[in-house]
Amino acid sequence: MEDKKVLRFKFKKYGPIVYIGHLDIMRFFQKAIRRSGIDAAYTEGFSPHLKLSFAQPLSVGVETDGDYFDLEMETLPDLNTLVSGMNKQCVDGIEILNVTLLNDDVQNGMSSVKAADYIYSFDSLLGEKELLDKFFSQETYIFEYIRKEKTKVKDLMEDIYEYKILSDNELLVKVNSSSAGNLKADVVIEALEKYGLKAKCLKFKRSDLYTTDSEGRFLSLRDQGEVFF
Amino acid sequence: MRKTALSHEILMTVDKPARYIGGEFNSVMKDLNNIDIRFCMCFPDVYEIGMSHLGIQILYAMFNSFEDTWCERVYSPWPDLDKIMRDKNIPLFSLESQDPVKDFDFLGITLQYEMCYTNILQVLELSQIPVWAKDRTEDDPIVIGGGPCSYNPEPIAEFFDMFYIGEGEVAYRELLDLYKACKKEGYSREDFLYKATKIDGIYVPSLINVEYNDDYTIKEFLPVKEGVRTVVKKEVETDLNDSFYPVKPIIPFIKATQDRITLEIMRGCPRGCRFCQAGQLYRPIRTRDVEVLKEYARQMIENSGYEEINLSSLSSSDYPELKELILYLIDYCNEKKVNISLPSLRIDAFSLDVMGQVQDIKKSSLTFAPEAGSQRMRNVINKGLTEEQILEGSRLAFLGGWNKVKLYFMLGLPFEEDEDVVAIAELCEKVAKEYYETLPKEQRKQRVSITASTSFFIPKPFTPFQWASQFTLEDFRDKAYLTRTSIMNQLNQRSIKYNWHDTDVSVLEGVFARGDRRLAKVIYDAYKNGAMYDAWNDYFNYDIWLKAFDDNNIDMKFYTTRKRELDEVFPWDFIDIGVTKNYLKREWLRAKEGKITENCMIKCNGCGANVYGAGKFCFK
Repeated sequence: MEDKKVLRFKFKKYGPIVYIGHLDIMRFFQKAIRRSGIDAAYTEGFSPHLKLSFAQPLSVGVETDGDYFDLEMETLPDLNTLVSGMNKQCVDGIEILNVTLLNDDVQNGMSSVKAADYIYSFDSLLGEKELLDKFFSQETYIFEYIRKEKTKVKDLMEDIYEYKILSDNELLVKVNSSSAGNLKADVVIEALEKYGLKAKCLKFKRSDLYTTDSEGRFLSLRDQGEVFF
Repeated sequence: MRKTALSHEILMTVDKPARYIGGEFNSVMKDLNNIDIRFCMCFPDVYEIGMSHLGIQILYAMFNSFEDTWCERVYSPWPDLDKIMRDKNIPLFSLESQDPVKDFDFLGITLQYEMCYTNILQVLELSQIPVWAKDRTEDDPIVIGGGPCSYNPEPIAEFFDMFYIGEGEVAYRELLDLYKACKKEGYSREDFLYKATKIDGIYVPSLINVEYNDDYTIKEFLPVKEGVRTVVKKEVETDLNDSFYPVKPIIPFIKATQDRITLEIMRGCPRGCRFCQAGQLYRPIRTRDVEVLKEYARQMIENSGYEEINLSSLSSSDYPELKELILYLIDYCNEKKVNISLPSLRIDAFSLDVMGQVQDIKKSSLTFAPEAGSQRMRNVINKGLTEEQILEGSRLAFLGGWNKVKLYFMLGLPFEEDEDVVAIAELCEKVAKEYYETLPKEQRKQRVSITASTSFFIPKPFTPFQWASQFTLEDFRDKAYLTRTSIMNQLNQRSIKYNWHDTDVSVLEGVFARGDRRLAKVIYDAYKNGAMYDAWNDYFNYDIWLKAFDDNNIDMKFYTTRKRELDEVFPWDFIDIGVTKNYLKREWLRAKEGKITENCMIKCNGCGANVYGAGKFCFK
């Protein structure tokens, strides 16, 4: 795998575009990359495809400030103008934030990702601090919920890594987002409501994705190489 | 940030919310403060179908190139959203501004197939625009129809304020200027409609009365007001090289049915197949210069990011510079990693060579459209494809490594006998036999696979077969059964797969194709009883239609199986497409005698379309 040049794009998605599903966002970026004219690498065969992979799908209806895709290149473009060039190929509601020239030893986003930050917006969190602190400081919290007509039982505390009350109405939670134990963002809300939270969650968005470094510390997927804006 | 007309809760409930949010790459936003005319363009079917249509992309880009006009889009909401909109009284909205369609100046509806007629009523009703043109007021948009079915607009005439007959590139500017002037002078809707009849191609149904004979055939067309012409002349783009082309097509987020670049290489067809309506409507034949096409291809590949390009025309093999164009595209597309989706070409050494270059031979198949099984029948329909050509083409293809052949036929053609139907099976068998005779056993990697598909023939206006009686539903079923049993009687029947089309829909399509104004009430009643998305098998309900015809005391056979006399006045006779009724009559009589008529690139047959003074082939 020597000399493989891989660029990692960080993007945000907001407004009506959140109703575009993951597969269609992939198709959108494939076309945007082709329009931009950069020298991306392709697979061989009758219908060559870009070597493009996304770190983590995002549910329909959810905003993000920090999602990623990796793109393998034949030759590197001018990385200082790449972000603005790519944004010309994007639409209102999809924006490339920065691009990382990945270090040689980095695995692709999909296998690297270990955790995700979600920011939940509430009508008001005033008076809820105590309950939140109590909830998140539990050693275990076994929660039973239903997704796709199946009952699931999980110890949420295993998959919730951090939390932070950002303001009177915003809460940040870092959850497991690895292939082994992805915790869906809406499960956290369901659990909080069951636990007694009165505040009403209006919406939530993903704010970043993380891998872990050699010492097990969380590291933004953005920071696995040299970053260009 | 753009808004959405639908709430988060609704968008999270419906299937494929991307159908309703707009915002696609190359879609156009404008500032309403600088706009005089708001035009909403509608394809009355679901988004993925509508977004695949080249005509709307052309008109959308052309309208938006006008500084004073903002053209937006709307499609039929899928039944899940349809129900929600009715329950919550949400007016239908355009994709771009998300504003209610009822606030626009124009609602333009393209009419691509008869089975979308109930969806027109859906769009009007959801838009909260009165369904009947006569009930509309000064506050309602002008509802204008266009596209292939507008060449017999009569069944739906009373739902429209006007129709634009012909190619949209030509007269829309004139119509918009008239509209602007009328608005400025404070003229009424009625005044505008009247003045619009002065523009070639514009048909205002409320200003032409139809008089019937006692047997409900048509007696004559009469102007309602003095000065209204009772002949409407089709508009034709005379030079495709400087006509508007959408080199920046809108790129849908979700996969449209045609998820590729469409490059229209020519309009019209020289072949004169007697069943084919497009072959007559789009006369005279006009081509785009190969250099213009190369430039469009380059620009569209660059502006779209699509992975595939498709050549569009009625008969690509007749495009004079096809070889140069394809060889250029193969080179350029290879470099740009774009696939070429070839149109169906006459099978010869050249086409097999390019097919081998752009497709995976193991997966792709060879396509022939003989349309009829016997040579006698192919002469009747003037399909100039012989059995020798099919077998020779197949032989070359088998040698080249292909082993899949698709054959398209029609059942229920005029003067068809059982032996012509049986000949379909025999032709399939001959192709299979050709495979085993061409390839020695050791070279056969797989069994040959032949797929025969039949559709039922529906006589269409402005074709030589407009006088033909359509076969009955029972006939259709018998013919499909005979085809199937004949195929099963062949030696190689295990290599032949047979598909056929639905019969009920074909009958109804036949009714609307040659229908008159009396059908509007039937369509309305069927819609009110739940008919919608009739082009979709899952939604089509024939019983609703049978009841609607019954309730209105209208016999479908009047439109389908009835024998029409040579001098009958047809509901669409007030439209002049250039091709004369006399020519069509001549062709109908030649069909009866099984006489063929030559390709008009070789010999002019005097169809009449040369009055447009367009296309170099008409003046050879």
